Amino acid sequence: MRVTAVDALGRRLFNKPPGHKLPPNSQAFRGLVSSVGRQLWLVPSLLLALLLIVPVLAGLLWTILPAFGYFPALGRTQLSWQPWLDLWQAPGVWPALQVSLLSTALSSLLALFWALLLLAYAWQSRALRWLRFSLASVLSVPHAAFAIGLLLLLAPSGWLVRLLSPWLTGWQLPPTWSWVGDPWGLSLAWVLSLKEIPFLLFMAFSALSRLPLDASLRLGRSLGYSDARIWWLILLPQLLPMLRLPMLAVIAYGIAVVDLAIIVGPSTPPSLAVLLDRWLLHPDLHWRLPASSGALLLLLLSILLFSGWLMLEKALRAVWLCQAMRGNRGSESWLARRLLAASAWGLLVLTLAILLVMLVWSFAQRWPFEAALPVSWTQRHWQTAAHYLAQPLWHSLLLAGLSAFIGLVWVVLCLEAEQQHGWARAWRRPLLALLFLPLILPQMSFLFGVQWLLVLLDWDGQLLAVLWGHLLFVVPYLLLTLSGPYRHFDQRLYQQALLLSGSKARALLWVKWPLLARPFCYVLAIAFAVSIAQFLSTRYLGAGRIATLTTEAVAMASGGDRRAMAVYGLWQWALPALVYGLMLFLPWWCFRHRPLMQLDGRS
Amino acid sequence: MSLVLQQLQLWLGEQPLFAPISAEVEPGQIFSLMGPSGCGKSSLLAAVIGDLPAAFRLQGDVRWAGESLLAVPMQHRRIGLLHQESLLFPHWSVAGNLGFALPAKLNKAERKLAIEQGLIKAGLQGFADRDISSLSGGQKARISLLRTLFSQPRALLLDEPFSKLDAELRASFRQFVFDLIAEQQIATILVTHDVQDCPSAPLRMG
Repeated sequence: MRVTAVDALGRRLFNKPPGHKLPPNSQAFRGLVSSVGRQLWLVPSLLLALLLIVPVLAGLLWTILPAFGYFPALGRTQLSWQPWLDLWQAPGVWPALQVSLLSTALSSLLALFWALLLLAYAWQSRALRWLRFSLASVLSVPHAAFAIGLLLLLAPSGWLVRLLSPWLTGWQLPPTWSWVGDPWGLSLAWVLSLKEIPFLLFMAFSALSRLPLDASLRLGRSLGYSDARIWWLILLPQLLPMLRLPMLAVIAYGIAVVDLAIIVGPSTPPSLAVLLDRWLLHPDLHWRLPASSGALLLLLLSILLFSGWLMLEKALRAVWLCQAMRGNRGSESWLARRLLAASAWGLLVLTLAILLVMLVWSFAQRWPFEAALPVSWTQRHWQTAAHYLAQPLWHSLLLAGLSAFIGLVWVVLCLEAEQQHGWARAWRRPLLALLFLPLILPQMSFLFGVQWLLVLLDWDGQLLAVLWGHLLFVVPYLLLTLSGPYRHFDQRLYQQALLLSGSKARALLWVKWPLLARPFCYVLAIAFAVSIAQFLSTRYLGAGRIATLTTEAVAMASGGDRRAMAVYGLWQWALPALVYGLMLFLPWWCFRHRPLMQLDGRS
Repeated sequence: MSLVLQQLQLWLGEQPLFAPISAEVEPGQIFSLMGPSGCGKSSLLAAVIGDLPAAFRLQGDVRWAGESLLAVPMQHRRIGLLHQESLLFPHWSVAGNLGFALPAKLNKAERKLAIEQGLIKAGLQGFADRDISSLSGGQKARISLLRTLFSQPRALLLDEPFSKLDAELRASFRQFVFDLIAEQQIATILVTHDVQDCPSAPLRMG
C-alpha cells in the first residue's frame, strides 16, 4: 500500500506517464519521498519567519520612515528631520524622557539585584523554595491587575492604612500625600521592579539548570568559602551573561510600558511612552510624525540603557574577579539571609494581599475610612460589570485561548523540526535572535509601524489582526519556556516508540507528546497569561475597536472608581489563574495512577 | 533472509572508530561484539537502526535479504533495539506498553490474548494492569524484551541489556533472552563488555 503511494508520488514529481515502469521498491524513490517529507518540516519554521519576523521588521521600517518625515497619507514624501525637531519642541517631552529613563534604569537594576541577592543569600531558604514553586502563578498576574491591586492596598486611603488607622497612625482622615504618580517616576520604577523580580528569577532558575550548581557549592565549601561568597564569586559571574536577553527584555518593556504607567506613573507630564501613546491616538494625524520619532527614541534609549548595563556587568565581573584573587572566604551573613528570605515571603504575601484587597473592594458598598472592612456589602458591582464585561471577556478568552493554542502547536512543530533535522541547528541562533525581537524591542518602536501597515491594508481593527499581534509576543515566550524541556527530552524513548510502532506520527502522538504533557500544559498557561496581559498590541492593532479585559481594566483604573477597578482587575487576574490551575490539574488527573509522570522526571 | 554488515566502519571526523566489520547474521543466530567503552559499539548499533548522529560518517553497507537498508528510514527498517535501561513508557501500564508494540491489525480480544500469553511466557502473569514504577529491574527488562518482540522485528540489536542487572538475575534474564531469540528465529547482534554474556566467541572491537 505504502509502496504504491510512494510510486504514485514519484510519478507525479517526475511527470512520468502512468504506464511508465518504476521499480516498486526503488531506494531512489524512498530517498526522494523522505527528502520531500524532510522539507515539509521546514514549513512551520518558514511560517514563523514569514508571519512573525518579517512583519516586525516591516513595522520597524514603517516607524522609521514617518520618524524622518515620510508619510504619504499627509502628502509628505520627502525625508526630513522635522519630526525630530517637533518632538524636541513638544511640551513635556524632556520631563517625560527623564521619567522613562529613571524609572526603567531603576526598576531594571532593582529587580536584577534583588533577584541576585535572593539567589545568593536565600538559595536554601524555604521562602525561595515556595517562591520558586509558585513562580508561574505570580508571573501569570497581569501587570495592570497587579498595579490596580497595589493601588487599592497601599494608597493613602488603601486597605493597609485603614487597617493601621487610627490606632497606629493616628489618622482620622486619609493623608493627603500619595505614593503614586510622583514626578520622577519612582513609584512606577518600584511597581515595575516588583513585577520583574519573578520574571528574572524564572529566567535565572532556568539558566542555573545549565550550571554545575551543586558541584560549585560543594567545591567552594570544601575550600572554606561561605555560600554567599560562592554565589558572588563563582556562580553569579557565570549567571549574569545568561541573563542578558532577559535584562534586555526587562529594559525594553520598562521603557515602553503604557498600562502600568497610566495606573501608577505620573500624569503631567507622563512617561514618554504614555505621551507618545496620546499622540498616536490624537485625531490630528500630524502627531504621528513626532510620535514615530519618539518611538525610535525609545528604541535608542533601550539600546543606551542596555549598553550601560553591559558596561556595569563587565565592571562587576572585574570587581568579583579582584575579590576572588584575594581569597577572602567571607562569613555567613545571618541578617542578610533572614532579610532576603523575608523579602521573598513579602513578595508572596503581597501578591496574595493584592488578590484579597481586590476581592474585598469588589463587594464593598460603604467603606468609610478607618473601618478595616466595608460596613455594608453588595454584589451590584459584579452585576453591573457582568453587563459591560461580556464582550471584553469573550474577546480575552478567544484571543488568549487561540493564541496560546496556535502558538503552542507552532512552537512544538518548530522544535520537533529542529530535532529531526540537523539543518536547523545552524539557523537556530540567528532565527531565535530574530524571534525574540518583539520581546527585546520596545513595543512602540514596531507596533506604530505595524498598525500603520494594517491601516494601509485595511486589516486594522479586526480580531484576526489582534490575534496575530498577540502571537508576536506569545510565541517568543513559548519558545523561551518550552525549548528547555523539549530539547532535554530523552530521545531514546522516542527512538523506542519509532522502532516499535514503525510510524513517526504514532511515536509523536502516543509517546513523545503525551510524555511532554506537563511542560505543554505549563507553557500553555504562561502563553494564556501573556496574551491576557497584552495592552498595546490590542489597543493599536484592534484600533480601539477590540476591547479586552486588560484594555477595560486600564481604562477603569484611570477613571478612579475603586469598586469597578477591583472587579475588572479581578477578572483580569482570574482568567490566567483559572487556566493555570486547570493546567496543573489536568496532567495530575490524567496521570494520577502513574507515579513516574507525577515526578516529572522524564519531561 | 539474513542481516548483513558489509565492511561497516564509522568515522568521527577523519578518525575511524574501528576497523571495518563484516558479518552475516542468520535468523536465530546471535552475533556478539565486545569492546571497551568509547570504541563505538553503541554507535555501530545506531548506524544499523538508522539513527546515527550527524557527527559520524558511515562507510560500508547494512543489508537485509540482499536489500540495502541505508536509505530506509529508521521506522521502516523493522529492527528492534534493547538498551541496558528498560525505557518503558511511564505514562502507560504494562499492558499499555505491550499493546503499543503489537501490530495495529489485531482486534481488542486478540491484543488482550497476546499480552496475556506474553506475560505468562515471561513469568509475569497478572502483571498487565501494573504500573511500571511498581516493577523490579528484572521485571522491567523482561517486559521491555517482550515489548520489542511484540513489534515483530526481523532483526534484534541488544545494547548491553544485562549490564544493569545483578549476577543472579543476569543469568536467568540472559537465558530468557537467548531462548526467545532461538524460538522466534530472530537475527541478533549483541554488544557487551562482558564475555560471559556472549553465547559464542565475540568479535573484539577497538
